[in-house]
Amino acid sequence: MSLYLAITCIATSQAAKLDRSPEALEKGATIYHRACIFCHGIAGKGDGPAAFFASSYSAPRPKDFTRKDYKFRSTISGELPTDQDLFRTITNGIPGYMPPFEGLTETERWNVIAYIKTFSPAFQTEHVNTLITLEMPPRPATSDSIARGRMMYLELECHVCHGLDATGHGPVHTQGDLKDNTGLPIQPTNLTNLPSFKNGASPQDIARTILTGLDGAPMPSYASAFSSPDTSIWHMVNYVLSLSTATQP
Amino acid sequence: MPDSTMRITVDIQLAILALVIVLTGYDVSAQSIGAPITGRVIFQGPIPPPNELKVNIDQGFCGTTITHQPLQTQQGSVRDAVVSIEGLTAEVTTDTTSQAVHILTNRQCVFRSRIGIAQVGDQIEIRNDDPLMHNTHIRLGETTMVNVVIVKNGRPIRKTIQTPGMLEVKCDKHKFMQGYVLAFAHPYVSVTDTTGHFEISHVPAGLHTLRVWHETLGVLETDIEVPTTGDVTIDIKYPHSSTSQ
Repeated sequence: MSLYLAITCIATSQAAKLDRSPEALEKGATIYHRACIFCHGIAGKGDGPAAFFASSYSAPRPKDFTRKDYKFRSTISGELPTDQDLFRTITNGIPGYMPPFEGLTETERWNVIAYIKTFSPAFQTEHVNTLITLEMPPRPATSDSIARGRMMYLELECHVCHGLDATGHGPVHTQGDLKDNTGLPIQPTNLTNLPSFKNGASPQDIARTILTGLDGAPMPSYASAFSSPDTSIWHMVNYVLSLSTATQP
Repeated sequence: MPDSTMRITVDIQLAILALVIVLTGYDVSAQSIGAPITGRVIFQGPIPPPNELKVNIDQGFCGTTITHQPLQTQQGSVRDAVVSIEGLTAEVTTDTTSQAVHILTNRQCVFRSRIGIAQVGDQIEIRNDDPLMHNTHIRLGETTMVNVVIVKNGRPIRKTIQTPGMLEVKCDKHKFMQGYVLAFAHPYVSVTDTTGHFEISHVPAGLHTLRVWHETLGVLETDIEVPTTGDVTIDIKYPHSSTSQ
């Protein structure tokens, strides 16, 4: 049975667990002011007091929640993230940048998501329409699959940013040309260091990152490079996973 | 048929017509009233030398430099100037959304067309005719509207414009590639052709501000009175000093 890579157009119902009641928003605000404000700021603009020290001169900086482009999504480029995307990021954190908040109860995490979404009117006016979903499990990481993944890595020109050795030192980066949307220089991910993957390091996380891209950063969506149904994305994933000696965090 | 019955029939027909208009949102005034504005955008000052853009990657295909002159004129008439009416309210333009598809092609390491206009609700179709990978990164200010790769022989991608504004088009891989799509919430916009001419149709009567944007010359605004019927012709002249800033 082949993996079915579905790029589906569906009117997505956001998370059933998201409670937008005044009580939930008030609880979310309390948690936000206790746990998030130091980086993301009072108004959610990513300008909290700790943001200066976190990353003044290079990207990524703390997320500006008033802007609608999110890096970590399961939606096509240019669309808002789903509630589940926000829940995943808050739960897992961002290695090297944001701690995981799995210490909060699930209800507390949903409350803070409801509050974060009040910073951008886009969450009230726009709907999440197009999900990129991976409905079948990954392929086994055979040597053949990894070799095919390496070939795809070159054909899709991932090496121009991530480098032939995948350490994040491709020619476009070394020329100083990679900037995020605020004009700050940004470093491509070192693909040989699995625990540092910001959008997660499971096979599904890696596939999702390749397909959706990271809006706000130069990393584009490669969704158009894969037909549907398509199993070849897993060759690329297997290749990327093979580059690290570290195990999945 | 008795007169009273005929009147009731006519009333019902009018009521049905009114209902259709209400349900479909068809705006009679926006379709039938208004004057065309035609004219030229003119600049007769010094033309700066073309930009010599250094190619940073894929020199085998793109070349080592790309020569680009953003200020193209023909006997003083300016190409690729975007002329629009400012300040029209959404009510005036209801249901004039064109839902057109605008083609944006990566070809010979240049976006074609480099300067485009569109309306909210229109789609941009991104294509790649080159035998190498391009990413097309369209931003509104600091916000990504779309950032997609199209590989060699890759299938086109369409994206709907949701917000008016100046969309900047870049390729992160080829930093010398740049273009603009100016998106509007109304249809009263035109881009000058190779002879510097523009035409904006069905402009509602009244006093409006005509705004011109050009990549090199900048922004120019002038008031314009549009009558209920008849044509309006106007030539808009950039000052000589526009390229000396």
